[in-house]
This record gives sequence, C-alpha cells and structure tokens, in this order.
Amino acid sequence: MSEAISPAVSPLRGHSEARVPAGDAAVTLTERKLVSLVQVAAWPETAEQVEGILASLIGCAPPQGPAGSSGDAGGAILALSPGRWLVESGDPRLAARLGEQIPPALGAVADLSHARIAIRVSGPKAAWVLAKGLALDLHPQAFPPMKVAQSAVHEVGVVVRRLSADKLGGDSFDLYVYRGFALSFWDWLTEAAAETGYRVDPPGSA
Amino acid sequence: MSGYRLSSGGQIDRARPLSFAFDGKRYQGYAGDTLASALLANGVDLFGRSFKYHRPRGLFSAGVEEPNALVTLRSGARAEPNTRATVVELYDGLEASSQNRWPSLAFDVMAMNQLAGPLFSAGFYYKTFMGPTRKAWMLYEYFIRKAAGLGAGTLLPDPDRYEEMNAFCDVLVVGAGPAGLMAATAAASSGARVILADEQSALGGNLRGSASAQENLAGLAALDNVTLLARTTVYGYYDDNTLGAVERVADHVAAPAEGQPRERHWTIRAKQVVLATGAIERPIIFGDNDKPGVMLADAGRLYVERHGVAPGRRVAVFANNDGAYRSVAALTTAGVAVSAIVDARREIGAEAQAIAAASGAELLLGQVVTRALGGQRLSGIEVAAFDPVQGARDGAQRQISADCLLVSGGWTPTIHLASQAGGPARWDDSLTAFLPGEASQPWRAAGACQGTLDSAACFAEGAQAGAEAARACGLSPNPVSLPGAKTEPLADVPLPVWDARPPHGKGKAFVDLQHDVTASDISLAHREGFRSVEHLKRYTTLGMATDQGKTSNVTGLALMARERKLSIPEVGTTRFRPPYTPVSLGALAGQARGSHFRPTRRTAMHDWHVENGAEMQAAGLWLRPRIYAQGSETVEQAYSREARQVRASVGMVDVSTLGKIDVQGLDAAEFLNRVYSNGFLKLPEGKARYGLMLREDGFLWDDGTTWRLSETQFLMTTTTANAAPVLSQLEFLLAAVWPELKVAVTSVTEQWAGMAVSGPKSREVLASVLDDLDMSNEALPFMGVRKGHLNGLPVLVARLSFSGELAYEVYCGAHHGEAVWSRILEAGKPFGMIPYGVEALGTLRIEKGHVAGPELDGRTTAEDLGLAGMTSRKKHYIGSSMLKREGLTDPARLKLVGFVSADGGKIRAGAHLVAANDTSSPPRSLGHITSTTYSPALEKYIALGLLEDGPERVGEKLVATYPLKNIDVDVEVVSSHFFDPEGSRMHV
Repeated sequence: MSEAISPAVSPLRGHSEARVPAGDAAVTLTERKLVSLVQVAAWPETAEQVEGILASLIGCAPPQGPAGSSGDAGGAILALSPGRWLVESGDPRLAARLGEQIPPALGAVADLSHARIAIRVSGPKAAWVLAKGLALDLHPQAFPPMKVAQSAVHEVGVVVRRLSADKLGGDSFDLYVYRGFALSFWDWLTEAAAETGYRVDPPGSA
Repeated sequence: MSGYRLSSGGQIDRARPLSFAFDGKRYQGYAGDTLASALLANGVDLFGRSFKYHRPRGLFSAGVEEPNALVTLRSGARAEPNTRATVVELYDGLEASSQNRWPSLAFDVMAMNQLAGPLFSAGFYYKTFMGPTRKAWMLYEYFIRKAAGLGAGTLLPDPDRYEEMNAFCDVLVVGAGPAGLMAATAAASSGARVILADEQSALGGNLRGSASAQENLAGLAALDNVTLLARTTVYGYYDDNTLGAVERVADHVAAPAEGQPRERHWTIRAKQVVLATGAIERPIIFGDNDKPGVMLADAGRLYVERHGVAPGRRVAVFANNDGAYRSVAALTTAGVAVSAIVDARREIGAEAQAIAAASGAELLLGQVVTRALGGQRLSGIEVAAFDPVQGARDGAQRQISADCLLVSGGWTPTIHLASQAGGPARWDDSLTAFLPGEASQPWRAAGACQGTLDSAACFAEGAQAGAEAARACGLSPNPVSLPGAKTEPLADVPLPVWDARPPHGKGKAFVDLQHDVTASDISLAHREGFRSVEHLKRYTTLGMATDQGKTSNVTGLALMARERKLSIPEVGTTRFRPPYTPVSLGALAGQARGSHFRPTRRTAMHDWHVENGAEMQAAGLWLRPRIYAQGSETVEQAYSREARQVRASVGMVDVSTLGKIDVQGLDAAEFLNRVYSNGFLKLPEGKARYGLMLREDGFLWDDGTTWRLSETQFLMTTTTANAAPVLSQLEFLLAAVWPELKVAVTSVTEQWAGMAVSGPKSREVLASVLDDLDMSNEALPFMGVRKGHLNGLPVLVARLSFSGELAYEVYCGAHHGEAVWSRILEAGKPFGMIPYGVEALGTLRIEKGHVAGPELDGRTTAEDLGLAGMTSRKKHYIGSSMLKREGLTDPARLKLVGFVSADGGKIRAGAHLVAANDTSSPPRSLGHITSTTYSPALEKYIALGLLEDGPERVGEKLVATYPLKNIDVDVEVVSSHFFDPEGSRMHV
C-alpha cells in the first residue's frame, strides 16, 4: 500500500521540465499540479443552492455571472455554463466531499482530476502568444481577469481563465487541456511562443 | 542600358550598400531599394519573358500591380516563383532569377512563338488540339503548359514556419496613405481599438517618408489602442466583417531569425472598416506597348522620388490627364531629361503647361503615341495626331527617340475589398472608372479608392470616415487637425482614350500584359459571340493570373464596350474575389503542417507502448498499438502469436480510447432505458450490461457496455469512433427532448486509463495484484463491476470479455495508467503474460463473431447482425418506431455469417461473395466481407460478412472475389461463432 514514489505520471513528462532560454523570454510556461478538478452540474432549480455549497466549500465568493470565476490557487470555481462549474482545489478529497454535499437530488459530481492538465502562461506577451490559436478577443476590456472561456486551439478543446493581474504582477492565463491532447498542445504552445522566446518554470511551481 | 542611379535623393540609405544577384550576375543596390529599383539603377531593362509569346518584358510599375517583372526569389527549398520584383525588398545576398525563358533571358528559344503570333489568339489551343480522342488533350496540354507559363515552384519542404493570429478591433483601416492615416488618427482619438494595415514596407502610402506622415505615425504608434501593421496585405473580406490579411514578417530578409515566422496570417474581426486602398494607374494601348522601357507614369515618379533612380536617359511621356505632369516635375527636379510630352488632349491647364515648360520637353498636344519602336528595348516612339471622335490618324506619323516612355491613362480605384463586401461597382464618367458600390457590411471607403484623387480632399475624407466609424462603435471621436495641403492644381480627370492605334496601326497592342491578351483578342472574342464580361474573361483569360488584371481590366471592358457599341457600365465589370494579391499556402496552413496537421491523442500508456516496440496506428486522432512485433515477425505472425498467447495463458490490451461517459442523476436509469434498445431499468448495482444504440431511423449506431456504479450513477462506454457523437446526442436529448429528466452527462474518456486483461490466467494475475478484491467466480461473476485498489491506487474492475476468454477490464485514474499497466504485466510474468495490440484484439473478437465498426457501418440493423433479441418490444426507445419499416424487415436483407477459407487463400475485406458457378460478368453479388483475419485458433483464414439468406446458406461454397486485385478465394459459409460457441471459456 505504501507509495514510495508517486505513481502519477504527467503526459508532459520529459517536455514541461524547467528550461531557461539563452535569449529573451517574454512568456513563462508552467505545468501546474492539479490535485483535484471536479465538474459539478446542478438542476435548473438547484443551481443557486449548489453554487452556494461550492462557494462555502472552497471558501470564496460565487463566480460573477456565467463565464466568470472566483478563488485562487488554493481553490477556484470556474463557471462553464449556466448550472455547470469546474471546481479546482488542493484538497485530494474534493470529489468525495462534493459528492457528500451534493446528493443526486441537487446535482451531479464528476471527478476530472486525471482528465485534464493545467498550464499557466504568463508574461507580457502571454495574450499575444495565445491569440495565435484562440479565436477569442483577449483584450482586457473584453476578457478581464477572472473571465473563463471554453474554446479550442488547433482542434484541441481548452478552458481558459485569465487570472487577476494584481496578485501575480502581470498578465497570466490558466489553461485546462484534455490529457490525451496535452503533448500536442504543448508542442503548439512552445512553437507559438518561439517568436517572443519563452521560459519553462518547473512543473508544480505555479 | 537606360536606367541609372541619381547622385542624390530617394528614401534609400546610401551608406548601406547591398550586394545581390539576378540570373547569377552580381549587382549592388542600397537599403530602401526594391529588387526592381536596384536592377533599374544598374541599367537592367529585361526582367522576364511574356506568358504566351515569350516577348521580352521590362518593368511596368512600381507596385503590386506589376504584370511583367515576375521573378523567382531565392533558391532551393526557399525558392518562390512569381514574386513581383517591384515589391521585393532588397536585402544583402538576395538571389533572384528570371522565368519562362530557355536557355537564357536574352536569348529565349520559345520567342519564336512570336512569329506564329497570329495563330495564338484567344481559344487557339482549344480550337486546334481537338482530336483524335478526348484523351489526346491530356497529351497536348502537357506540352502547351510547358511552353506557356509562369515560374516553377519547388517540391522541397519549406524550411520556414508560418503562423496565425486572431485579432479583434473596433476599426480596421486598410491602407495607410493620406486617407488611411487620417482615418486611423480620427478613429483612435475616440479611444477605439484601431488596426492600421498597409501592404508596403513602411506606412504612409504616397506620403511615405514625409515629415508630416512620420509625425502622424509616431503619434499613432505611441497609442495603446492602435496597432500598426506594415508589410500586411488585407487580401479578403468575408462574412461578419471578418477580414483576412497576411503579414510578411520575414520575407524581406534572407531567412527568418530564430523563432520568427516567415509570414503571419491575420484573421481580423472588426466592428467597422475603413477602406483607404488607393488607386492604380492604368496605361493607354498602342502598338508594341509591351517594349521594355514602357512604364506607368507614376511608377517613373516613384523610382525617382523613392529610390533615387532615373527610369531612362531620354524619357518621353504619354498622357491623357494631368497626373503624368507630377512625374514630369519629379524627373525635372531630379535632373532627368524629358524629351517629349505627348498629350491626347488639345488643351491643358496652366499648371501642367508650366511644368512642361520647366522640363524643356517638346509638348505635343492633341497627339498620341501609336507605336513603340525598338528591339529588345525601347528606342523610340511613333506619334500621330488624335481626334477625340475619330481616334488617331493613319499616316503622317512622326518618330521621336526615347529610351523610356511614361504612360498615364488615368486611375483605377482599388475596389477589390469593397467589391467582395458590397453591391455592384458604380461607374464614374468623369474618372472613367468604377467606384465602390453599396456596402453590404459595415465599411466606408475614403480617398483614392472612392475616386478622390486630391490630397487635401483625401485627408478630409479619411478623417471623416474614421470619425464616423468610431461613432458607429458608440464612441466619441475628437476633431483632428488636417495636415496642411493646398488643393491640387493638377486634375487627374482623363480624356477617355483607350486604344491609341490608328485604323491600320502596326504592332501587337497588349491589353493584359501578364496573360498576353491583345486588343485583337477582345475583338475576336466579340466576333465569336463572347459578349458577357464573365465570358470575355474566361475565353481570353483577360484579367487572370497573378496580377488579376489590375492594370488591364477597365481597358478590356472599354474595348468590349467599343465592339458592342455600348457604354462601359452597360457592359459591366466582373466581381472581385479574394485574394487581392497572391497568398502563400504556407500562410494559410499556419502551424497545421506535417505531424501537426491535426493534433494527436495519446493514451496514458503511450510511452510504454513505444518503448516496448509497439507499432502505433491511428484510430481517429488517437494512436493505438497495432502489434508488438518481436524480431523480424510479420504483422500476421505478430498478431497470431499475441492472440494464441491470450487463449493459452494471458495478455493485456490498452482500451483507454473507448468513449467513456459519466451518466448521473435521479433519472439516469430511465434515460439509459430510452437511449438503448435493450432494457437498463433493472440493471443491478455492481453489474455491467452490453447495450445497443440505434439511430432515429432504426439502423444500428453504436454499442458498448454500461456499468451501474450506484443507484444514480452509470459509466457508459462507447466505441472509440463514436465517443464524441454519442455525447453530443445525449446532451441534445437531455436539453431538447427530455428536459424533465434529471440527468447530467460528462465525458470521462480522459479521466480513466483502461486495460483489458484476457486469458485463462487473468484471474490469477489480477488476484495477485489487487489489494482488496475477492476475484472468485462467486464474488465477481460474469458482468460484475467492483471498486477496489491496486498498490493503493483506486481502480474499477469489470468482468467483461471481448475475446471469449475469462477476462477483466481494469480502469484507473489516467495519471496512474502507466504504473497500473506495468504492475499487472510484472505480476503476469510467471504466466508469460504479453501486451497485445488492436490486430490481435480484432482476431480474438472475429473468432468469437463479435461485431465491431466494420459491421456497424450505418447500413445494418440489429436483426441483420443476429442481435434482434436485444431490441426490446416492451418499451419505446430511440429508433424503435422505425424498426418495423418495410425496408428494415425485408427478408432479403443481408445477414451476418462467418466464412472460412476453403483453399487456404487470404480473404480480403470488401471482397464480394458470388456463387461458384456464376459465369456472368460481373457475377451477381450475394453480399460482402466485412472483417477478416488469420485465426490461430482454427489455423485458417476466417472472415465475417453480410450475405443474402446468410444463416440458411451455412455449409454452402462461395467465392470471395476482389476484382480490383484479381483475387478469388473459395470460402465456406459457417456460423459467425467460430470459436467456443457455447462460451464455456469465459464462464469459469
């Protein structure tokens, strides 16, 4: 039963390790460690109640409006569509806890902790690099911090969240990518970032 | 040798000389030169050979409209044919070569086509090379295409990268000349997000390099809300105000810098667009008007003012409007001799007169150039008197010596984008030109493309258009101060003169220089009945090829109008289609090339498969192990060994690619019961059931097992191919058909890694590695599902069998996939456990007669495949009401049966089944083969197939024929349950 070595393997093993370029690096790429990522769906009449449960469990305000988000690295709620949220937390028992608090009468809880990987793209050219693949208006007026979008980059579905600039001192995005497409997406991202130069920070450091 | 470098002037950096080569010969130019200006400065006047007649051609323009000076830029993998020398920016070490000539540009064998000139009129090839059979044209065409044409591309892979960019803005301004600059300035003053794009290497258009433009651009560049894009051609206007543009990021250097793309394609979504695309000068037609040395008048001015290059030593000018006098003034200022000014008008204004007088040129009013003289280059012109009604007079021509002739026939507004997103173009009689029609998308035009040729008026019109565009976005622009510009004293209003030849004039008169279409081709087209402009274009090829007739379209229309005795607007104009100028395929492909054409999906065990010798094969976007070949095994040997080992002991296959959908909610069982054709209401917790899904029309759609994890939670599996369509269908049903059901569906395909452990030793292997599961037949019966742990990692174990052996599927969190897979294989070592691929997976299922994708091909019903028992009669479900249709219950429908090779031959999938004694040709098809394999269990080639009266024919001998490859195999019809039909091996 003992786990001397973590048996979990990232699909970006051998690719997302730290890398410091010789020249400029206008973006920084970091594979984040996703401990728990859970999708929660509510029924139309229970949406408000479920959102309240999520907010109190994560300890943050409910996301502002559809396609909004709340929370930070410790725990976050991303509104995907009316009555549907993606919840991230450092608590490995998040799915179980949510299952206990959200019985079938209130909604459905699906654990996606292994189904996605998370990549943070930050730095002055982060939006420029992402705009090479995202057909979304990433101007801060149109896509302000904490906004969430479900979109696709080169046929790979992604959930994009802009982080609040003040805490991180710069432009920063979190991308949630399907595990099976992770390496293809990473290849795309590093090629798109080649123009401005990029640095890779150690996995789990963001 | 006529052009030369002026001792001063031009926006070039004389301190930065650049070395370059054309056709292997080395030359020198300066930073700020184009390839054209640098060659002109070196006295080069022969740039290429024409498309059809191989006539010598020189520079005709100084911009994108260039029809003649097409060259191949660079060499090897970076060779790019048909680049216009007039827009190729010079860089140190540039290499270019001429096209469509052999053996050399100066001596071109194919120039003898000129002697046969009268033969090669419009439609010549199609009229001449007609027989003897339809195929003959294919042969002729090969040689015709070889003789005629443009440059040749390279077949080597492009070493450079291309990128895409998505941009959004309030106001996109296309063109950064006087009107565009002011439009951007006015729009930006409102805080609007503005993109200003221009095809040239620097912004400013006609104001390029001027102090006022520099100041204006510096002001715009300092604004956060403005994006300036030089070297960016907006080439296409699409729906929803989406425009396509190509930025030539590194086309002006030998090779892109590290990480830099060569070109970047911009998809620009703009709320409002200002088109300030300018105008292109057009020529007047006369005999041999394609002689090197004949050039558009404004191009002559640009070479002097922008590049410090004189276009000739004895320059003549031919005009029908005042615009050409700007060029005369520029040449005079630069000290270039202008020998004669030939103007079709009998009277000109005082300003033009003054310029003519200052130049010292002979002014010939009421006269026209009827013919260009000379051999490989211009040596003089023939001039005759001109009457606006009668045209030029025959005889009494006078010859004037000249090495360069600057021609101006007026201006053609650049209305390409307006035409793509607007109504029919409007004819303007005074400019004798088409102007933008009514906008069908939110754009407004300003400046020369709107027919406004005066600078001061362009500034005002641009500022107004920019302000209106901002207001249309709900913003408030500030008034902008217009640069000081006095009203232009020279009027570019032309006297309509299209073809200056006298009735019996000599020489070929080219309308479309790039495609060698002459004035007489247009007359011929008219005589042969091609009257519509669209037909004229296609018959003569007028206005086709890389320049798309930028300097020839209006003249061509005028000549057709003359033939038909109609006005030009009555003849009409063709519609412009994207692209405005050629777009490279690389720019359109962006990063989607090679292995990145589409993304690749990898399972959690992908690296393990590759490291352990798996040959991977694509299944949709997924990669799956096909076989794990040992030594020099063939595919058949490898899968036979793998399948044999599964039946003898135990093996494991990666099944992670199966679609997995979490179905949850109070009504989950009811929902599944409506979706599947068999019952799901009473499936107990901890059990799996094989389910069939039908389409609404009653045909089979998908199959898979669905596991009941709790009262309200199911894990549905689908085929790999239908994972996404099934999820979409379920979401649609819940959203639109049964919104009252409390069910949520979520794709969990990526959450779980799945592996099937099959074979008589599978229980022993799993029992040894699972922490907490009783694997006995009683505790985990067939179709049972249990949650447990393996090395402390949570797993789901389901006792399912696709192979017919005792077998289990083990699911674990995808990040744990590799660890669980390795651990199970390690535990299986004492049993000789092996990994097996999808080939062996297929072999095992065919031996059992299980259906898969080849049988579920969208044309089969449950009954066809022997699964009628799974279509419930006690309930309604998707597809149930259509099942009783005549066509679906027809006894003549093909039915699933098995086949074994009777003669030892390999049966091909797709082979048709025919009676052995059928001698008709082709023989009547009784059905076809769907899946085939070598069966190690039967030691024979076997197959599944669909056959008329299938089950009744068991025991019959047929032939599986594959006429494409001439392969016939004798087969015997058998039951599809080849191996262990009682299923005794999996119920142990």
